[in-house]
Amino acid sequence: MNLTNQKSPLNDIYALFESHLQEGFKLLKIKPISIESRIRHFNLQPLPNPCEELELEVEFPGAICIIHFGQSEIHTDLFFSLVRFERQDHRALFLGDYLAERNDKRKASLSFSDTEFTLEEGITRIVEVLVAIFNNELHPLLAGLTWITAEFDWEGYK
Amino acid sequence: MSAKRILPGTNDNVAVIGRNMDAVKPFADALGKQGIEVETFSGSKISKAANDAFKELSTRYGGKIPDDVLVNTKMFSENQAWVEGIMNKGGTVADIGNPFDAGKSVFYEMEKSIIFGGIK
Repeated sequence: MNLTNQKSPLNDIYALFESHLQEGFKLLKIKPISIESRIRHFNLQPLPNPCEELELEVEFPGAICIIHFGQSEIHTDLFFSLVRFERQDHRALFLGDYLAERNDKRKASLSFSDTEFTLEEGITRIVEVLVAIFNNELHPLLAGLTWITAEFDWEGYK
Repeated sequence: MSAKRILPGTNDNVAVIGRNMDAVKPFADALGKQGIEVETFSGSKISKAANDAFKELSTRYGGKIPDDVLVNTKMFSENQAWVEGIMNKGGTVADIGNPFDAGKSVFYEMEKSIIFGGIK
């Protein structure tokens, strides 16, 4: 995968997401040490054209949280976020897997269609869900007190 | 729950397949508790690259990757390689079928095709 930091036509939307996230993260019990953002372009087989998303790398005391946000190249009304946690020598934890394993319906709130929500509403919803999960369930992981694993969520494909 | 059919192998390893991984896992766990060496296509059997790419792809398709795209994913080719490896090793395969009467899965269809050939 190629990681570049080029400008994008979606810059305004990325900026909206990033500013909402920065505001939301002020409410966290475990504060981030640093937040870095970049635009990521990469090839995703078997799709023929390159994909793009905003990537935020958020460093917490006990984990690095990688947050992707973008617009689907396939269903252009669809906006999504993908969140994973990493710590050296541990298997990455995907937030989607974590929620699916617990039958937590908030997984659906991590993406939205702009036919149902405005960008502002959809992004606000994503950030609210992230802040709630980070504060109420994952704060021990973010603080470095524990690690959590979750089974791969097959989403019904298998 | 019981296996719908079993392909006997030449060693003590048992691979468990089925239409729904939510059913495969507890079945495999139950066999494991009996001291049987069990494997499923999950966990460390899936590479990080396949895992990450599949999540990216599924997200972009809104959770509904079409079958013609699925069969060209790294996840599909790793699943295929896993089944072929089981067959080459002469492992026993337990197929739990489709306990939840779910729709067709190209992954499960591929597994059955390699293991049982044309027998449905």
